[in-house]
Amino acid sequence: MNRLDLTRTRWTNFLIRNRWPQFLIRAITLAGFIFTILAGLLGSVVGSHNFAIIFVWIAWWTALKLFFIPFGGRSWCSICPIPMPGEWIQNGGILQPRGKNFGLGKRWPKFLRGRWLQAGGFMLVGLFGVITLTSPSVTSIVLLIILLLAFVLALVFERRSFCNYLCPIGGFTGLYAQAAPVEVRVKNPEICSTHAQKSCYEACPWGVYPLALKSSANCGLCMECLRVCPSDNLAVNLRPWGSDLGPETKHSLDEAFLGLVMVSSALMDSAIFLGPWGQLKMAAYAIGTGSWFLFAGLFLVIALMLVPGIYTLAVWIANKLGEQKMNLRKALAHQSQVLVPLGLTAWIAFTISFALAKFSYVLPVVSDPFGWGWNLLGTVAKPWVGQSTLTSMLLQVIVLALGQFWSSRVAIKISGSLKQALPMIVFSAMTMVGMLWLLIG
Amino acid sequence: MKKEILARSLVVFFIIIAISIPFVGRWLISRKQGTIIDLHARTFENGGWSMDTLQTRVGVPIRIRMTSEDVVHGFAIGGYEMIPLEVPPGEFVETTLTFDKPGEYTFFCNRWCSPNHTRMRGIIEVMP
Repeated sequence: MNRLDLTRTRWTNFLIRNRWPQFLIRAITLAGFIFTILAGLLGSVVGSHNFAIIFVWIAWWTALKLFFIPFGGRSWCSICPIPMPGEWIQNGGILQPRGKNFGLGKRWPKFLRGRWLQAGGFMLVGLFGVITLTSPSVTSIVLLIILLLAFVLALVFERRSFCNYLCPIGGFTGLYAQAAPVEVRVKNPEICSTHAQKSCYEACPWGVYPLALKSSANCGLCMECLRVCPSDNLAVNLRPWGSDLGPETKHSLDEAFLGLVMVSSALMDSAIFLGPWGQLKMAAYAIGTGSWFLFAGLFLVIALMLVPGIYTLAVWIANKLGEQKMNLRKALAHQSQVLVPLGLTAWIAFTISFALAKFSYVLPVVSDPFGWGWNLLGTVAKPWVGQSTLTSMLLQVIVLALGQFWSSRVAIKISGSLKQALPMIVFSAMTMVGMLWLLIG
Repeated sequence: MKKEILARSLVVFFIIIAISIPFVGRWLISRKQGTIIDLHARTFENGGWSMDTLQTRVGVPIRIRMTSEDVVHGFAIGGYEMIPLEVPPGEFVETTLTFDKPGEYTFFCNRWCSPNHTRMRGIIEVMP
């Protein structure tokens, strides 16, 4: 087996099993989250001088796409503070294992399950992205709404319903966690099948039964299952990238929809923020005006019709070319695995374009988080406002080329033949060329 | 249970620190600044200068700390000899003014900041 079980090493095993390290990070991120909300509401209205904008949209958003997801899958979810206040009430504590305390504990409605709402939430972020990404107060209000929504839903519904079905970032990280090199898996399935108590399932805030885990999309890496398993039968494995993608894994239509929304959003964000069309950016900013409605219409047509339309056509042709035919619905879900490396690398390439140029804003806002003229750590200096350098362009080309290679490989792996994979490879190439054109020009 | 209580206390402690930073910081800065006037510049369409009337007396220095909330603005005063200042967004520029004659002086933005740029002005009332 090409897996490295981290629970076999003493110090990693200690870090994973002990509740304190994870708890402390979550407690600090919760305080940081509240601090960020305050900075956005009380601090400078100039985004580049406000902690809320720089830390959320430059530091965290970059770290999520360049570090947390590619190297740790849903590792951000394991330290995310958003569900913490709700869980405190729901479980009657924050350090102890899950238990029943307060709240209705209702099951999430069946018709709202899946990734649909997360995809919708991500599209909303895209539609209002320009104002959210530049206005500190709007960023704070969005964060506050998310925190309150997660809290209220924890009182009504069981476990982490907000994270599972509503959080757009949960959808984003879950989708791309399938490509990440980390997984929680059962060591010996036979031990689980004879264990009647299912203490791991009872303890899991995500409602996941580890024995049934085939994909890392729904596992938030909270490690609760490891902590409560009486047989020490769970492993945290380092594995090859893209291990969840293959002909055997099961996928659903909502995953395909989420994957398409992510790919479309990467294309649209590249066009809005980095493209040469000033009018497009102005229209995205002018919320409520006629030009914004035109922009919103264009965004929705691309995200809901154009990209899904081309994808459906590619899947339909691939299905026709295959020896074993599936119904279209099943084929759309099955081929959605190609969207995982495609979307992930598109987002990484998009992030490189602004991360290198804007990262110099991070240190100044640490010293002056509210933009009030403080210099707490002596790191306030005029930020170096960078342009897209040759290095970042080169990196983007490499990442996009890697994405094309990876998604083509997945297409071939999940298809019966190279001929059948070809339409998906062409779809992937079209997306990558689009990204290349928007990012490099 | 002791560990749980410790954990809860830590969460509350971290949150209190997070909430107190802006309020304590602001209070400390206001004590240190004393009589400095904070003047925020915005385009006329966004509200113009945060104060349109400033008051002082002849020979009494007036310290102004300016920042822009949107685009690059300028600061100049009609009838008062000074090098006009540039006020970039998010940054702070300080100046000290001393008037030797009483009267009303107009301060204004001298950078073309918006279509209504010329309406972005205020008055400094200098009393004898």
